[in-house]
Amino acid sequence: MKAFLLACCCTVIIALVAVGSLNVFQEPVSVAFSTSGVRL
Amino acid sequence: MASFARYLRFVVGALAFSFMVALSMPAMAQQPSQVDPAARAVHEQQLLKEFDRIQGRVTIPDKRSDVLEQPAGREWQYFHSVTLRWIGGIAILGMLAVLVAFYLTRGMVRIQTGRSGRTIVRFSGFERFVHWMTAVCFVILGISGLNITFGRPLLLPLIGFDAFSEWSQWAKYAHNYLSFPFTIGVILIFLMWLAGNIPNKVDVEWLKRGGGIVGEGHPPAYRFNAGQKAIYWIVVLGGGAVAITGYQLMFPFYVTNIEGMQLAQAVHAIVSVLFIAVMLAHIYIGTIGMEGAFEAMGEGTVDLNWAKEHHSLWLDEESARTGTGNVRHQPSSTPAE
Repeated sequence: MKAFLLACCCTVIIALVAVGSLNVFQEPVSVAFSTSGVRL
Repeated sequence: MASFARYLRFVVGALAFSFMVALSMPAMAQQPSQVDPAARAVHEQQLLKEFDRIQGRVTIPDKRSDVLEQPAGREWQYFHSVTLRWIGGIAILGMLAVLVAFYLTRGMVRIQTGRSGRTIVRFSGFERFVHWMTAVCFVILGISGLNITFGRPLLLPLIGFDAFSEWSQWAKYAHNYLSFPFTIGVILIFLMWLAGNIPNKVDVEWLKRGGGIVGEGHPPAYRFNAGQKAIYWIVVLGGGAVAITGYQLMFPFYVTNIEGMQLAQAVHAIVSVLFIAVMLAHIYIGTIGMEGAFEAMGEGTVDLNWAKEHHSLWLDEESARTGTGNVRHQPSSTPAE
């Protein structure tokens, strides 16, 4: 049970780190698909 | 005089005609004779046959969006909305049907000699931690992935557009972000249990005797039997395949073009539904299919008689290595059910 709960906690932590990392590596849609003349 | 005037009109007319023809020659030379430049003559199918796509021009930074039509996209769409649903439905429902039929005919595989009341350590805390981290991620990834394939025809009519949209958005977030702990789990599983999962001749005998699941008696096995080795390699290779193809989809156009991503999605989806079907069998054997099996991953220990019946060669190795130091006495035997 302890291993299971620890695994769940660790899963959430790694996922949160992934959220931060992906936001650094990938541009938001509003930036990637727009110019100053066109806003999507 | 009149005939001269007729002659003059003829000559002037002939010259005018020749002049017009001469003027039109350069324009004709510029156009291939078989192409009609009018828009009505441009047939979509002809264009798609000559090129592999219909492409225009765009002013936004993403130049890939200038592709208006790509025939392979139609094949992918058909695969995604028809073929994949059949493959997934047959694999998952078929496996469930087999498991239900097997349970009804064979029932739970019991410890034939009963519980000894003594246990032996089967998996360490770290091994169980890695197993559960991968398993939790797999379950959520599986459900959120199935939602992409089956959610629209099955779930949407039940819960409506608003709820389905909200659920699907969160499911997609979970699918993306939980892929990272899942991948770490698969890598750790590969490294952690590689040594015990190299096929050997004991596996052949185990398979010949149906692993003790079919028929009576239990064939000998080391720490992992042939069935567990099969699960291990399916997890490592299947998990590796869905991770690689999944990251190709998560980072679109970073490493491949649209055709590569369509192929990646097809591989990702097919491997995933087969993976889910196999894991259903793994979950069945690890819970209601076999007495004492869940304890191995639940508490980390198994009953000594369970170990004797299912992994006799491993028990011999452990006994020779640790003596009785690894064996614990239980105050009372507890049934697995």
